[in-house]
Amino acid sequence: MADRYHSHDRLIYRTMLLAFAIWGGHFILAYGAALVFPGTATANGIALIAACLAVVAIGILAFRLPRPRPTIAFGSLGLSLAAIVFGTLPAVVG
Amino acid sequence: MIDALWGWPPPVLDPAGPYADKVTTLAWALFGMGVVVTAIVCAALWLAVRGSPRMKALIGGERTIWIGGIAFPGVVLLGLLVWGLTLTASLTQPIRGDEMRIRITGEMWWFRVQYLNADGDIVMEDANELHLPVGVPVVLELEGADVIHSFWVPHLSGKKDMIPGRRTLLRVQADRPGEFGGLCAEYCGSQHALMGFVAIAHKESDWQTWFDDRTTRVARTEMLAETAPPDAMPYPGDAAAYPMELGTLERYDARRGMRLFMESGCAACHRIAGTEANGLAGPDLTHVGSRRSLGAGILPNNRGTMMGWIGDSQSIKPGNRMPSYDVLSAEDIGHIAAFLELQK
Amino acid sequence: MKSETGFDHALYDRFPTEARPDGEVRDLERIWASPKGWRRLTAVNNNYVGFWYIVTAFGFFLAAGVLALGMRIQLAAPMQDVLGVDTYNQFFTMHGTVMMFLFAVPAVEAIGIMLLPQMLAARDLPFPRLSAYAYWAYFVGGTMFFLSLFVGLAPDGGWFMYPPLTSIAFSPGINTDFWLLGIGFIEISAIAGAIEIIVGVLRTRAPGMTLDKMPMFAWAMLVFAVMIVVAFPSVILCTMLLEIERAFNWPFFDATRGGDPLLWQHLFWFFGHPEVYIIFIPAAGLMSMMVATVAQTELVGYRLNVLALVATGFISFGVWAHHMFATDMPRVSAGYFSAASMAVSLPAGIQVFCWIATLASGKIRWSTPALFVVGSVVIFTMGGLTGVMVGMVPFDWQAHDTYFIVAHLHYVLMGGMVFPMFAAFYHWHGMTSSRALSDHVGRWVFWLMFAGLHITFFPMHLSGLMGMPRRIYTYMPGRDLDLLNLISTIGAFIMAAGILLFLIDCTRRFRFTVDNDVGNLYGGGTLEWLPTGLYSTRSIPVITSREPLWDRPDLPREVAEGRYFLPNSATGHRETLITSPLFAEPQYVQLMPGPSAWPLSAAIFTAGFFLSLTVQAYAFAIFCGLVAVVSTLRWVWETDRPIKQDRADIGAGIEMPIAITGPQSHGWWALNTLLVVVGMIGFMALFAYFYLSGINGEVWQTPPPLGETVVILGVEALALLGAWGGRRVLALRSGRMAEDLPWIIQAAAAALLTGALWLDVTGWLESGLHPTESGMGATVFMLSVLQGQVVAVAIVMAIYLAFREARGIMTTPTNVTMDIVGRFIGYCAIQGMVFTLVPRIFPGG
Repeated sequence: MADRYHSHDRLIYRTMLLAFAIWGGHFILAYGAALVFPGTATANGIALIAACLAVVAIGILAFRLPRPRPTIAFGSLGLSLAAIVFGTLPAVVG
Repeated sequence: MIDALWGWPPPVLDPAGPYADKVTTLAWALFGMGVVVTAIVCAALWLAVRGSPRMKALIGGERTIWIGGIAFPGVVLLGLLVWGLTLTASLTQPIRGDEMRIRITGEMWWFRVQYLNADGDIVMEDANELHLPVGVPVVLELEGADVIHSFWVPHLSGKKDMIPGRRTLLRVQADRPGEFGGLCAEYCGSQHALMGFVAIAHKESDWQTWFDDRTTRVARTEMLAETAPPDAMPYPGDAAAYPMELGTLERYDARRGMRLFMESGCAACHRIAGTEANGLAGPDLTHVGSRRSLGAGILPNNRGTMMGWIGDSQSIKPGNRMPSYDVLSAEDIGHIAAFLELQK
Repeated sequence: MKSETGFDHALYDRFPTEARPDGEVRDLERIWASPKGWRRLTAVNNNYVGFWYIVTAFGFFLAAGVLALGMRIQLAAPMQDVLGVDTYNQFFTMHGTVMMFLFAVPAVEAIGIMLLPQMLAARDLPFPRLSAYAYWAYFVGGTMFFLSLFVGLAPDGGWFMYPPLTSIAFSPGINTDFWLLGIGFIEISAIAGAIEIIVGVLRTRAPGMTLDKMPMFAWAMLVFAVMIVVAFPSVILCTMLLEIERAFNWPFFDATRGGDPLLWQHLFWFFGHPEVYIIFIPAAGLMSMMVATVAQTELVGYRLNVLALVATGFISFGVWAHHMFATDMPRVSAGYFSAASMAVSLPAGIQVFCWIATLASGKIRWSTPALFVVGSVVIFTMGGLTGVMVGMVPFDWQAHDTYFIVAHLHYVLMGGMVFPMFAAFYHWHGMTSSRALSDHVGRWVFWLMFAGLHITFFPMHLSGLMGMPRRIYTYMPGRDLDLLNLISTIGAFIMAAGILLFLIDCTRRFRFTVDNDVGNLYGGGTLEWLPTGLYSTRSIPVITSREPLWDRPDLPREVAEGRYFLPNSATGHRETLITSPLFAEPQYVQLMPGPSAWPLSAAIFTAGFFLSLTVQAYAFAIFCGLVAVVSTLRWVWETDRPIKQDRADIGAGIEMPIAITGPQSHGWWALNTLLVVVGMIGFMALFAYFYLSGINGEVWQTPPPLGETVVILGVEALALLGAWGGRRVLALRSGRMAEDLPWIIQAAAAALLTGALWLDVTGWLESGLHPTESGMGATVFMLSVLQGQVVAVAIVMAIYLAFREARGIMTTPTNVTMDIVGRFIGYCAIQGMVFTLVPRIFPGG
């Protein structure tokens, strides 16, 4: 009955939720800025700054993971990062 | 039935202007992507189920998920997204303000079309038809009078909603002369299905001629001057007053039709410029005789359909805002139709 | 090896114990026996409620499917007059509404209620009476709603009911009110189900079943339930707004008075798009489990699948406005929604390839469920790809609101939900039927449905591109649409033939049973295939892997011999084991309520309440409302039953407490979940306030003076203090009688809240604001309405508390009822402060 518990379980699920919460935070900031300052460089700037902060936060979370990195936590960070990159493009492209 | 203005080939794939053109390219690319990815998934499924043990071993691991489920879609979606965003940006360049403007209002269940001058004043009103010059970008101001409608002429551009309390702007441009069908795309109540529209692109010089003619001319009432006052009209009853050599159609007297139009209630909802008919609820009929269709794109426009529409619009388009004038005799309706037919 | 709760994991090694006496099984059977005859309707056991739920949901599926056939007949040729425009518009509205609200959500919830306790080896879900209430509210309300069709009063505004078309000016009949009524029921039962499922999944798993070992369906249901809790408040709010606008003329959506039609679209789609994933995610969980069974190997990429489910749950809340690209959204805003729509495809891709990899890593056994599983992967992929297409803003401008969308959504919902549902029925029917369905007939069912689906919906892509808009009752001839539509109609009947064949097979072979089932037809490896009775498994095993039945072939025998946890009824009552959320360590024994007619009565009178409101029989509505409230209170009366024991032996000499309060208790979790729902409703209402102030700031006026605001806040702070103080006083009386002071404090807090609300409302009225005059008035007073609702509940709770005290059943020092009342009143005070403060200090415009 070995390996019944990961001692890192709590960290893994917390990281998973935080990863997507960061995506949510970025989405709210970027879209909120576009609502409040429609069609301006300010809105795009806020989105970009939020994206930088989000990437840093994800980096920190990734750094704090035990090695080898657990799939769920690391995968969530990766997926969240991809979604944030996608979600920053509207402020950059066009 | 009226000419088919859309159908085969699919208008989304048969663009007639720059705002539809680029979307068609995108659409073909997307269909290609759809076919390829479906093929990949089906092939992978086939190999997973029926493949050789070696093939199954190759597919049956987490690596498949990383490649097929994460890396590949990630790259494809990223590329598509960039394309989509760039295209959106190019289709929504800021409006300069000096473009030609036409206001189109969605009403239950037809489109009011108003041509605006540079100051934004209405210079001419029409219904269910948009005439535009080839090669000139036109900004459409879209409004909803009652509920939400959506304006869509797929040959020219994507659709845009007509929302009460808001004014949405849509740019269209036709690059070739022709007639392009359109319709209401947002469910707007019982007769949503029968709310059609046509955009007619003319060569620029032709358009100008047409427009000048439209804006300078008002009601075709010139025949009134040369005749006796309406109540002195002989028909009906006195068929002898009409020379037999006239065809049957001419037996319907537009002069009497005009009087009936003014007195039977039509004028309360319809306007004909230059007459006392000043109603604003229904379509402006100043140029109704030259329209391609009746009832918002559902009937061809001729004496017979006009008579049918006046007499029994409720069975043609149940629930529409115009009552069936079945209290009028067929003769009366024929006269009104004759009058309206002249309003070109 | 760490412990989450202090439970010593070495204790697990005491199992399996020696076999236990058979007499204990008879005790379990007696305790869990369900009532006989017509009293069967008062049963609350998940085997019954879950089965009724599934049958009812499937009934609505058939009914809505018949409507679809009617529509296809009408559209088979141009300019037909088979149905007529009014009937057709009611048909498509009902088809969409019934499929989404009365079939899809309840069906997955039903499967959850049916399967989850068995999969987790719990005796039942934690709140069986709540399940029963949710079911009956859904059954009675849904049936009444559907019957409106037969009297021509069915709604006709499309399933997303955009105002102003659905406002009183353009829909004066009560058809729209019937829609709001029908949705009201599904809101109630969905929220009730979600609370049940969240608490069930997190707190009633078998010991040792860590999150990482949960069956994928349990993960999916957890995500599903959390999504309901976040998404449904939005639709609850917008149905309230529309009903209030219709009934009392408050202009939320009326542009002429500072409302905005798009407010509805934001609120509706903030619910509406997650709703699609709410339907898809549980089905995906079932798919993951069936794929593993079909291939007889464990799911490849279990953890990736978990994160895909969670990612979908999050990202699906960032896509709602892709239904609104054509409303002239600013380009960058539309871009954000387009980007999120692309991003949400990633987890879907992960799941599809998880399934493919799993199929490849095992040896597939062809059977009816296997066919449905593979078929749905193909269909879902195709629907997902058209989804990516319409996620592209420029393409969506063309495809939006055409038959292309009709094709897309049917591919997604059929491939993502209906086909998996049929697969699941075939896969799991062995749990509830004493005879197996025919595999031979099943294959015919599959091929007819699969072919019918493509023949029906594939041509619709083309008819959409050719310019055929959705929701048209007819179309003109000569536009080359005739043939495509005829093909679609033929396809619809082929699909219907498949479903008819399924029904015939069910009538011939399916026989409901709770204890004599045919069992594990396809060799599944999860706990629901343990031998069960109404009490679920004889004993609750210790779990060490994801497919315990494959890894430990002796497990079913050991479980049936009672060699694990709770081999008997430790208290002589219905009970289940509550475990910790992460590692599922045993924490305490929960006493479960038995059969009761009160949830049934509460549901019938809730239905009567809403129905009388709809037909404007207000006196009868008040009567029904009162009976419903009394029934509800009567049903919860048995909480905190004073029982002699306070600890019980749960097997192998391990002792656990019975009934606890505070953060460890399942009631605390349920209440918090409910408060999240109520809080989300309030949050969405604040969103509506800010949204309208941004759109129509010119109707915004100055708020009442600051001094008044401070007074109201003070009163609410006092109420908050009372809510906390009442519980403290009770705690201080440990070991003594509770006496009157605790409930009096709570009642005083409720009274203070009422006073604060009165001050707030009169203050606004005096400042000249009126709810019918502007969007600001409507939204500000809407906050008061919401606050009024919770304050009314708080008052009822305080009275209820007084009754309990009078009957001497206030246990000290802790008491679940007191705990809940105190927390709820505290929540009301905080919500009141926010609702008072925000509009008074942020006047928009």
